[in-house]
Amino acid sequence: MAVMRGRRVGICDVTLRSLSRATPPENGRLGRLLPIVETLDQAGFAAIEVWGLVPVTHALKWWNESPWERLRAICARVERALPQMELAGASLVGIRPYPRRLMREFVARAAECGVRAFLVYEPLNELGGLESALEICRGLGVEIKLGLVHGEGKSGAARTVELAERLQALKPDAVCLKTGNGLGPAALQTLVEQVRRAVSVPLEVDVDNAGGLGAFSAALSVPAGADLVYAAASPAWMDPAAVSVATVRNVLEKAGAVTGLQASLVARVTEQFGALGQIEDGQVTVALELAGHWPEALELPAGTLQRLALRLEQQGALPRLGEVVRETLDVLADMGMSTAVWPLAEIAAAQAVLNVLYGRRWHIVPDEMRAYLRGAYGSPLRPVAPEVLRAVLGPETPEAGEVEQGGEGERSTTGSAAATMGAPSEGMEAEDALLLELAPEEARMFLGRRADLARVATETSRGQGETEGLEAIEEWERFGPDELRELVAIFEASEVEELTVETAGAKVSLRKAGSPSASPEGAVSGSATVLAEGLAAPGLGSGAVLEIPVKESEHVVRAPMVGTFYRGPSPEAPPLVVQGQRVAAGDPLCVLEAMKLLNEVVADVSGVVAAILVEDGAPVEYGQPLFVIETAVE
Amino acid sequence: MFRRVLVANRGEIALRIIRACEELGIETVAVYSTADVDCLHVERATQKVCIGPPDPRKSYLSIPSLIAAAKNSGCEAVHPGYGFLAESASFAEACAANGLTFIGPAVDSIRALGDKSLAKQLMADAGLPIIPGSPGPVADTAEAQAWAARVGYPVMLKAAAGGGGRGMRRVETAAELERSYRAAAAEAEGAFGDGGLYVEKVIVEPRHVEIQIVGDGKGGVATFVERDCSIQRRHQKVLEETPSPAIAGSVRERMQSEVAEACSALKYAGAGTVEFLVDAEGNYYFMEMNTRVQVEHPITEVLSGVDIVKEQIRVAAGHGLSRQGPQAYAGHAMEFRINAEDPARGYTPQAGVIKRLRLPGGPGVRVDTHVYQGYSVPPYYDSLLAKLIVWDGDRDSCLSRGRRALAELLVEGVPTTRDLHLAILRHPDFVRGRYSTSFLERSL
Repeated sequence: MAVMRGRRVGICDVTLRSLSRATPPENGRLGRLLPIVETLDQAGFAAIEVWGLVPVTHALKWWNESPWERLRAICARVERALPQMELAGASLVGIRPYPRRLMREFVARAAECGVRAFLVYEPLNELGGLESALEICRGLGVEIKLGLVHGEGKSGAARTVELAERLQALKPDAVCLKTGNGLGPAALQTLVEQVRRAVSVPLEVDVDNAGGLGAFSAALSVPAGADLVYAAASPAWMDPAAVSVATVRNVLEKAGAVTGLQASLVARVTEQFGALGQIEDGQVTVALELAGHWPEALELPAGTLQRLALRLEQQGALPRLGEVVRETLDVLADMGMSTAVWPLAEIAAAQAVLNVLYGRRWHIVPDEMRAYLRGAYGSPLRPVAPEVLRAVLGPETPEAGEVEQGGEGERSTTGSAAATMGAPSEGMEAEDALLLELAPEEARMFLGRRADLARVATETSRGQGETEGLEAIEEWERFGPDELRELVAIFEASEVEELTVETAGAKVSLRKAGSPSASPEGAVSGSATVLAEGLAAPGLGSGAVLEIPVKESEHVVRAPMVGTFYRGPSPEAPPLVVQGQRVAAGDPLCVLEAMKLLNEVVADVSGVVAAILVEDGAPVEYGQPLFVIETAVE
Repeated sequence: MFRRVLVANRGEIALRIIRACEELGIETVAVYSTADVDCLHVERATQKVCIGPPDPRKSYLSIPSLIAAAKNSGCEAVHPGYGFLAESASFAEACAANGLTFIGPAVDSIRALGDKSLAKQLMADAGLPIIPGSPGPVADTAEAQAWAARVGYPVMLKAAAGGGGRGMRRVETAAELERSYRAAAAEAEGAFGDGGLYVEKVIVEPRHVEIQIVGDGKGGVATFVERDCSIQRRHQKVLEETPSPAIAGSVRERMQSEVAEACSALKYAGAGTVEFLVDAEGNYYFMEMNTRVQVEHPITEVLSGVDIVKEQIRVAAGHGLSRQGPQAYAGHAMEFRINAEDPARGYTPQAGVIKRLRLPGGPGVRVDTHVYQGYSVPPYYDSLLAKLIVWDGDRDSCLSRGRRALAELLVEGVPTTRDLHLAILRHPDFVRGRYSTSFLERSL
């Protein structure tokens, strides 16, 4: 055991992981984030995670922000701490694995934006992937921390120590031990001690907060030999998956260790974060609290459990959380694992939701899972269940025991997408070209919107310009103080000297100090003068009409009126249809009761009842999805 | 007091009700059609329920949908606003049958006062002057002649079985009566299957003057100073003011006390408005009673300091009126209905997106509206965008303030009636307070 008194330990902050997944998505936008980043940098963290494993598709869609602009703005504000970025192997910050060559491009771009260290792990500990990541980072002159995923139970410890030795041999700047489940403080301590003996470079520990054990486990890994632990300042009620930095700091400092954190500033971050949102999904918070009592909850990453609950709540199926959690563990077992980290935990959870809601295991299988089953992420410790392989991949099924190795990604779906996009056209910025490869659809829309904006800016700087192009820029119609802050941050981080934007409700002119056409009154201290007039009232978002993802062959039957949903022809009668039942167009599916009058809802197509989305006796509103009918049946 | 109330309406009145409820600590449930998903009342309510497609018959007029929404969301009471089902006795009955308190008068009051001739009878019995004429349909032209001679020409011959201008004739002299009678009777027979006609005196150049009341259902009544709503186009009110420039002090007192007596005798519960026609000599005649809150209620609120919507809720919750008797008032108030209508196209209603919106403010200005910059005005419902209310110490100052506030108002994206109001406020007859219900069509 290492001596605690006076022992220096670093804390790496991962608050941005929570912010990046915040609901509603506006809470994650740059405008809201930057003041928090500023406080974080003052608070004494050794390192700050600047991205937080958010897929590029989400950044483009939810925030309408380019990852590069975002990274530049954030890294510019991280001066004291080490700005680092976590990558999940070939999946980078997303879920699907990309071709290996994209990792080099990605890391290069991110480094140019100011990221100085990369924490790279492989979900299945594929050494080949880690080796090439190391090579890329050394080539670019940035720090590389190699992640080591501890997945299995007691027998896994030996394997983990062996892997630690192999990683040490590569001489990274640090080794980071990651867990995906609630290992528990005692077991983790033993593991860290063993790994410590194998590793002489700095040892970091990033524990998951499954079962709420994260903070204690993290703190107790320090006497076991950890040099740095990962924790977050997001309030627990907003992000139950966050390992509480307050608890970690308290335990460590009471034992005499020195963390370098300024408690008041860390508290300020929590306060700033808390000011962003209200509990909109109180039911989810309660459900997650209750789930904390289940033994199964220890086996999944806390973040995955949280996202499961949110997704089920959207479908009106939150009461089935327990069922879905158990199914997720079964799916993981079929996949050959007992626990997992991002992105495999997400893929397993998504599969479990489909298995439970459709009432048939492995009936609907997303592309990412197919990719996993074909070996795109590497090979798990145990073989994938053969009957699952057969059911999902059919005639392609390799011989039992042989799983295809992920190659240069010819079979990767994004690889084929890049191929159909064609080579990026000449003159296109390298950053934009990379975006098109990472997220083709979203990037196309994002770049299109930005081109419109640039065109408008040029036109309005010449005087009264046409404003038709503005109709295409939905996001900019909501122009308020946050959007203005973002605009300023992006403007500062860019090459542009002067920018005028006019939208439905606002006109903003930005000029950099020293720019030849700076206003005659002189530039205000700081790098940009902002003249903003007539900021519009914030646009009101459209009400959520419930959406569920369906294939083309699936037809959604929606409520034709508001009322109470009953499965049978009357409240006490047995159901009219069950899952899997064949129905013909015109067959009654359910009744909706309003004012004691029963109204029959009939199928408008023929097919098989694939899903029943509402519980018996629940209230429904007009237009709410009730049934999914699969029409493409033999 | 209620814990949760369903607001069975949309637009500015739904927002008005939600505001009153919020101040009373009552949770609200907003209902909306798919066309109203972005309407402000949906955003402000505690909860929201989508009840149907844009067609009002399948959404805001669908009694089962409203009842279901109310029951499913745990509401104890329903506020119907104005228009839609606000004066539907069936809706009030359905609420009662389903354990929901209807925030409005009793079903019987709604039914009785909704029947125009029955209402006249009730009010006449209660002592209010009614428009002179035959009490019911006349038997033949001879009886018609007799009544016409008694009340004085010109007279209106009106179909007993229906309205809407069918089976109606205006008769200037006794010589025309026989021929007009036959024509009207034939038309009524064809339109309603009943050729019966009744005779009513024509009030020449009438003013439309109404009295706001609130009753506690036990005989207690509060009355407010009268509103003059004569500025109308095709029987739709455009501008309202209070008090009426045409009503002298003694008449004012008498009107209010007669109205109070009548409503007290009816044991009226909730808000209501008693409408009169007033002739050039200052004689007033009961026309009809509206058993709901009205569009123009804010001008009464700003002069009296009483929140009419809160009174409605208080009475329905069994808490009684906050005050009774004739209510004091201070100053003068006006309301301008800003509609999305194109003056260049005969004021036809317009849909569209409000690209730019500047609302006036400052002393003595109140704007009741559900629209905001960027709001898309749907084509399915009425064209009222906003009610601009101004008040000041006297009528002249109020006119001046009205001009100032209207000048500040800016709406881009849909045409509005703002300039019409400015024109009214400049017209010498209006400035002098000398106008009747034909003013708009005649002078502007």
